[in-house]
Amino acid sequence: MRRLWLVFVVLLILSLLQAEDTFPSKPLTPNLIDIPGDGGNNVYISWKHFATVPGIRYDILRYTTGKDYDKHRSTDEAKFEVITPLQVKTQLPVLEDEPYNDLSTYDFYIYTQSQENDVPKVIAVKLTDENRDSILALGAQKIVRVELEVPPREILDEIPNIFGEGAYYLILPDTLKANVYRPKSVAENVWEFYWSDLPYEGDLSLELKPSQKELDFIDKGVQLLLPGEIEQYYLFKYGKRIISLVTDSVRYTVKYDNISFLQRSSEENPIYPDSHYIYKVCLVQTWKPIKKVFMDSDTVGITPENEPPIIPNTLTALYDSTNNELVLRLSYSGFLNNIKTLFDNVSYSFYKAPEGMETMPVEEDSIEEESTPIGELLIKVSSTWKAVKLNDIKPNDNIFLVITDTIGQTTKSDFIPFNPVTAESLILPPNIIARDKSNDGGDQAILVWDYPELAVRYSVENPTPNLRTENVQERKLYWIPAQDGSLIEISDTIGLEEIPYEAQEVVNIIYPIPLDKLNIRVVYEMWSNEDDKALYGEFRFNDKRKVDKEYTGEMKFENIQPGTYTLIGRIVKKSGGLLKNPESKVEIEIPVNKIIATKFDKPDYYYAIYRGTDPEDLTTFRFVGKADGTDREFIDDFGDWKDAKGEFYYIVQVIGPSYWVARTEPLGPVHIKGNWFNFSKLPIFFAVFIFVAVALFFIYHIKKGREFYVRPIAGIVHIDEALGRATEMGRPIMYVAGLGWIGDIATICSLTILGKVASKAAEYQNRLIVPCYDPIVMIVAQETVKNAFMDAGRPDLYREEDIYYIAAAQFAYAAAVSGLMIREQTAANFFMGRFYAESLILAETGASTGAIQVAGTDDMTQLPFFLTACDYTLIGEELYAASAYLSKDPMQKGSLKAQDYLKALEMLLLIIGVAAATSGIYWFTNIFKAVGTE
Amino acid sequence: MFWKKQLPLIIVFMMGLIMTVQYFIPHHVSKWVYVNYVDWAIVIAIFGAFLGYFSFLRVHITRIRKKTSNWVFSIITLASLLIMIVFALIDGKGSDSLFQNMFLYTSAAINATVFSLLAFYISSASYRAFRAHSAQAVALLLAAVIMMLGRVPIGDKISFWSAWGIPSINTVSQWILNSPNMAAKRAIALGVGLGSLLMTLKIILGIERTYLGN
Repeated sequence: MRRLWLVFVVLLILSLLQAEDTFPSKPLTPNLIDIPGDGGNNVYISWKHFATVPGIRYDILRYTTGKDYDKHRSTDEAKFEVITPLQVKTQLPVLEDEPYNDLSTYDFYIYTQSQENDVPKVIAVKLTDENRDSILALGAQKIVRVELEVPPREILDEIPNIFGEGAYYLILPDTLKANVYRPKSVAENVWEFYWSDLPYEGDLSLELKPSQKELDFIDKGVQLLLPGEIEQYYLFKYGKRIISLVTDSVRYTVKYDNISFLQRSSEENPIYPDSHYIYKVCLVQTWKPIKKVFMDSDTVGITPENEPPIIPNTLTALYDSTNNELVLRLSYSGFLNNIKTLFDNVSYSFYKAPEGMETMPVEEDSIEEESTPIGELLIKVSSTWKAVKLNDIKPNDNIFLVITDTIGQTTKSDFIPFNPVTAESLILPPNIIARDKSNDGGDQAILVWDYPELAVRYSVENPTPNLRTENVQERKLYWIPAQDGSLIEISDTIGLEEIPYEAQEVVNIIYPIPLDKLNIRVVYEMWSNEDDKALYGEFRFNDKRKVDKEYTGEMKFENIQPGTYTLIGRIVKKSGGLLKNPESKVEIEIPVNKIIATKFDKPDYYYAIYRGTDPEDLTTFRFVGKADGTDREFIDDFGDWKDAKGEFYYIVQVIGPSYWVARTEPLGPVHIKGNWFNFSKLPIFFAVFIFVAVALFFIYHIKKGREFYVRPIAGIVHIDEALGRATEMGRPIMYVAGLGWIGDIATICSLTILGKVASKAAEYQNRLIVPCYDPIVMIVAQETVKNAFMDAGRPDLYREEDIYYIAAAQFAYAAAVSGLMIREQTAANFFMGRFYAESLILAETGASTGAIQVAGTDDMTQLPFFLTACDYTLIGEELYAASAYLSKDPMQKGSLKAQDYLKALEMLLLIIGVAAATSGIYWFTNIFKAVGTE
Repeated sequence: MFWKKQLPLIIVFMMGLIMTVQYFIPHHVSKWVYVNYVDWAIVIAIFGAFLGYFSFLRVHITRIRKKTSNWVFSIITLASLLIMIVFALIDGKGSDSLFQNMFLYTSAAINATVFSLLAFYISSASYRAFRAHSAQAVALLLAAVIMMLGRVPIGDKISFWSAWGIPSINTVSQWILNSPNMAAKRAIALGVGLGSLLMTLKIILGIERTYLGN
């Protein structure tokens, strides 16, 4: 044992000594950006992390100065504070020594061009007779080696490392040439154009030869390429990204990850406009197991400002001259789209300029809107609106937008040019209402609209794959990727010279051929809301009825002979009946003679939902979400019931495929309140009520002294047998109460059985060991065993040190208990309670020691292990029953009797359900289904 | 006696009733009660942990003092406990802290080792269970063979009879899982559900008092 202890200490010391005393490279100075158009409280931090830099984490640090922040702290106390840590992925070092690493036989040269505020640009070129003098004059060095993996540390340290910009790829035709001749397969719907009489509609698979362009590219040999120099397809197929380009004296590392972080003002790390902040990043490196090194970058400062609002860069106006209606779309695109959530815009106001004003006066920008009337205000909405529609607009009206931000700064757009369109005929959904959501905590509103609809698509398929491959090389067909998959055929009028350079010759065409019997796959969707109470679809195909009770949204009709069949679909309600409205029924003729697939006919419009507090003031209406055209409801979740206090109104916009708009008037008012009973749980409530009533009935009668027969439980008699055997052998008993905590039913039952076991152990004067997983269970177990020993009249035999806590770690506990069984040679082991993966480890170890073992658990996944490795097992509810059976309390036995009767009731319900479902009656099972789906 | 017997029973009765009713009430007040209840349970469990550590220390210190067999292991156990506490105090518990590294490279590795023993125990347990010593054991053995073959690709390859419309080994193994096995599992699940409900009722009504240590 002493040797083992020494080995442990020596290993620990060695591991500490092995920590390398190497420092990571200095990180690059971060680049700071003040987000434009915001309230001056966001900073974007970014920098480059090069692949050859070791490190596991960057810490972003900030030193704060400035009037607002320094109110709370003196300058002396100010220091750099960690804003956030960012983990980085470090590539594992690889010692690369492949033929492709060596570029010394090629004339590739490298030089750098400095860039302002950034790493230099690395330029690699192939030396030719034409460029030789000019390239060498720039001080270019010959590249002798490229690295596609990060080399080990000792190789990195051999020569200086320069970080540069240049996403180079090494093209290796010799080693990767095999890829060229691998047949390429593309799926294209071109068949109909050439062979329209085939029993198949859909994409064909074309097997293609490489194009002449690809073959010529391969023939160029080894190349160093930037992404823009060739199509990405070639780059990824034949190239690999270079990490470092190495000359005799310098390593140029060119592969890096852009690390960035958007710091938003928060309570812990506030950002105030016009305050100055200084940032740096710290690279953290850990040498396993415990050594850490840090390296800081240079510092950089920023003063965020509250800039005026930014006009949406995709502000468009769709004008229908027939109705004199104008739809204005307000959205940001590109970079602005990524940062639009940071803008502090408050409202959009659309004005009509006075007649005669030809251009927008520039000097009025950023002036308080209220103080400078600049035209006729047409509409003012909150800045969350996606689109607005204006009526009575004349073609020569000049419309412009004014955006206001949180501190009243404004920005005006130029006059918005009109795009003449024809208005889309958008229809507002019928029956639209907004109301408080039922059965919730008072933090949700719901909007419902329209009638329930059943949408169906189907496909006719072969039961097993039946593909035909047809060689079409004789036809000289060429596939042109750039022209979206069209084919060209060499003919009298089209010669080989007219075939595009990138075209690929078609070798084979693959398509399915229908068999004698086909399968029909029906896929459906129910477009409905909670008021419709739709449950699942019911279909009749060729007079064969099928219901989708689990609502998988899919069903299959198999082995259908060719012909034309009718498919009728309906929606089944929770009550078991069918929805009556015509939209909820479909009737389709399906031609079963060729392989075909249809698509859903989904609406091409969507809904935008706005919530407001004043129906007269549109600036109070803020965008809260959108719903698809197939949706029939929208749930507005406030998140917190405190935010849902008061009176709310809703506006729904329908936005068409050409972005035309129609909107409802404000809907409401909606008063949101919490509910005091969840009616969707009513069936559960009734079930619990019935069960409790039956249990109380038996408990009441047994309390009155009435006798009931209680069934015997086979496993219980073996507890006495195990205890007796342990006593005969003079070896201790071990009781394991499982890995559950005191709140688990199985643990409570286990402790009841422990009381019985302890009582017998005291009676037989045997030692009882109870290793515990949970400290509270340990305390209860100690009390239980102590009471049992006292009740048996042998408190002197009680040993508190035998009922102890081991560890709340699963396998640590399993290892400790297994060791205990072996060391103590326990003669009887009890495993009662909740167990997980350690069950077999415990039971098998016990079995190997020859102990008699009794187990009991309600965990179905562990039962097979106990059944296999233990002598007797209490299965599932037998564990609960055993605790009641062992108890001398008559009321416990009354509950056992109630349990038996309730099981009989469950069996009766099961039999009725099976009989009803088999007979095609589903309303009975739907009662239980409705509970399960809530 | 009131503090040790009646008061806990009253608390359990009240809380049991409140939590049962809470399940049917979606109101935010009900959610507030539930969230606070869960928080209390966590706080109480933390106090419980101290009791566990006390017991743990007492057992191992006693072993060292009495120099019982294998008492050196107790020194290692207590040293490990102390080292982890010191590391956590010095360097925190972050992703690259000393504490985390010690956990990953010692405790996690040992846990994985113990877990890997399961593979061998499953083999030895299967060997014992699948011995064909009775009619039931033969049925079990057959089912096991079908299941094992059904889980690997060779099961489908050797099912030459499937060409004549007879179900393949894969199909039969899937049927065993989905029909007889599922039926047995659901029967156990129904019994467990019912037993849990009645046990809960007994606890609320004070009929079951094991958790009080008697």
